[in-house]
Amino acid sequence: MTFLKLGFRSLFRQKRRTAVSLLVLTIGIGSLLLTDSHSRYIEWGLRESTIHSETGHLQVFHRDYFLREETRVLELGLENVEALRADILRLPDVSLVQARIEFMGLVSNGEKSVACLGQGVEPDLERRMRGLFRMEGATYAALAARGDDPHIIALGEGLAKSLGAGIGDSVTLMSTTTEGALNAMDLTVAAVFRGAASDYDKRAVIVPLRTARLLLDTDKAGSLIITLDQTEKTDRVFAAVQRLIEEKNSPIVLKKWHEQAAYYRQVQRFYKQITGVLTIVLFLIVFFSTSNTILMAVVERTPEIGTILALGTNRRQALAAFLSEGVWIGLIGGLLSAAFAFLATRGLNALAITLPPPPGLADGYPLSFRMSWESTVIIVLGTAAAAALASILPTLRATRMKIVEALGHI
Amino acid sequence: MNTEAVREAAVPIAALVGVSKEYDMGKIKVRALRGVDLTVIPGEFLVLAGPSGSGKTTILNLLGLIDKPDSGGVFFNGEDTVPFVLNALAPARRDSIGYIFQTFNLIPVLSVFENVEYPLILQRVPAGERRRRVDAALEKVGLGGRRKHRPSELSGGERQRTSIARAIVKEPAFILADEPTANLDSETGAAVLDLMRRLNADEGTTFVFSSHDPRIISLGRRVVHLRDGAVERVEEPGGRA
Repeated sequence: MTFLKLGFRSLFRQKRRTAVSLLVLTIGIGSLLLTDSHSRYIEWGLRESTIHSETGHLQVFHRDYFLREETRVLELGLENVEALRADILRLPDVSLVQARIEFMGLVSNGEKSVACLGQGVEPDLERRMRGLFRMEGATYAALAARGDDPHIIALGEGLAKSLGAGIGDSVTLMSTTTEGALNAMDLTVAAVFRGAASDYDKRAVIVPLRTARLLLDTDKAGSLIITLDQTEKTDRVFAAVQRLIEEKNSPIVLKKWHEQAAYYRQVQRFYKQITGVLTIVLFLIVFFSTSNTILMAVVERTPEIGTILALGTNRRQALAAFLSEGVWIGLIGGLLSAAFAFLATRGLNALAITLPPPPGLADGYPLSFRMSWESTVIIVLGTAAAAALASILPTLRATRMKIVEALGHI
Repeated sequence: MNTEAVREAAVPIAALVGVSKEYDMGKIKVRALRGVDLTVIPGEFLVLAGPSGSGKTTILNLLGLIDKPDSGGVFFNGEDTVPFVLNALAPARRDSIGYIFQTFNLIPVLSVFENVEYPLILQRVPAGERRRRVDAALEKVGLGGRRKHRPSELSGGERQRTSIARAIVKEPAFILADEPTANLDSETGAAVLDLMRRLNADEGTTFVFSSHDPRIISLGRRVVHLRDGAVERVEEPGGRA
């Protein structure tokens, strides 16, 4: 306790030097916390938007879907979808279960035909899924507003532009049925949507599930998307659905959201790399800044080191006294950094700044932060540990001095 | 029984036997001690006298177990300490030796009370007993009212009295004082010396101190005169207290 007290009070011997050290730590580690908070926001936002617009929390496919290629459209689709959906909906924590069909085809305005990637969806359920994360679902709302009308389509913005089609215009959607025959439907454009990537918009169409089934001449679904009330419950519900599959011996396979979220994983890896590099750089700054402060303290306090050794302090105790000084610098610097980051995140979130869109994406994204107490505690303790580590070498130098030399007796 | 007889009959607390010490000062070597023999017995008020460079501080360093000789033996409580590394002698320094420095050497960030308490913390003395013993030591040196002050808020004399309190609080076998009055004016120096003499006379505290001031040397009960690292002569003007 004495050595902790001694270390703490020693911070006030050279107030200006201590202040500079703490300032370096506060700005450096505070910036690290800001970067971490921003990447956590991006990860969280991307995770939830990916889940609530694309993957759901869990996905159900035919057992062989990932094992081999289909020889015919929806050869590996799900059958008896309604019974399966009802079973899953009975499980706790499940909010929504909706069916989807992915298909390829051609869309034409009579003069020009463009290859397209189609998605058959249940518009009202899709809209509600997005609503769970307060995302807009205008396209799905527009489709849902048309009730059971199967003769409607939503076009990607780029595709609509390419075809010169707008809302209310007629287009023809063509594809091959599950039996391999060519089929076509005349559809009215009910909505034009803009996706995350402009390249996708040039090929994307969305139709009601019923429309897709009529076009493909099937009552199957490509997949079932399960959305939960909380992402944190994914593992628990996964296990429950898995048990259900085993009990019913259903020929299906279950996937978690992140297995189908390649873009999310790329972004997550990208931010982890940025944060990792920054962490190394900033911890080096902490290391050298603290090391320098302790080294100066050791040089200045050489006679004092001699005194405490002469009084019977052993070298381990002397080491503890100087190490505690480093730990205090790290701990106080870490706490100031956390306070700085907390205030900065509050302020910047309130300013609602939007950053320009990254390459390949259509929209900018908010400069927002999501501070994690867990990583704040880890970073603050890590700063103290780095400062302690930085203090070891200069402190060892102090405690290895000859006592009479330290006292200036020779 | 005369004082010489008393001294020979007593068991020494510390002794130097044929001690030599040389310091390497870059290109030149300085012979600090040459075959010095010296014993310290309980209750002594021993003065090491001599000009600068005569070896006074080196003897104190060796008796204080903070330096080692090149040859000869340094005995503490009858055991030769030379084979031990200095860190292994830290418990002996902590428990048995008090040190009073010429420049006081108080820890500036600790209060008077905490400076005096420091050796007792090293000894793991319980808090209640620490408080009692520190208060008693501060009363003895007349600093009862200054316990919360920092060293920077004290006069030179008060600092040295704090240093004395720090030395006596652990009730050591002996106290080493290196020119304890050199940084004090003559009046304050006399007061500090008087305090040390009272502690010696009233409580039997053993003091070994160095000085080159004739007025202070005259107060010693035994005076070891040093010159060029060797004992020139020994005087016993005051005898044993």
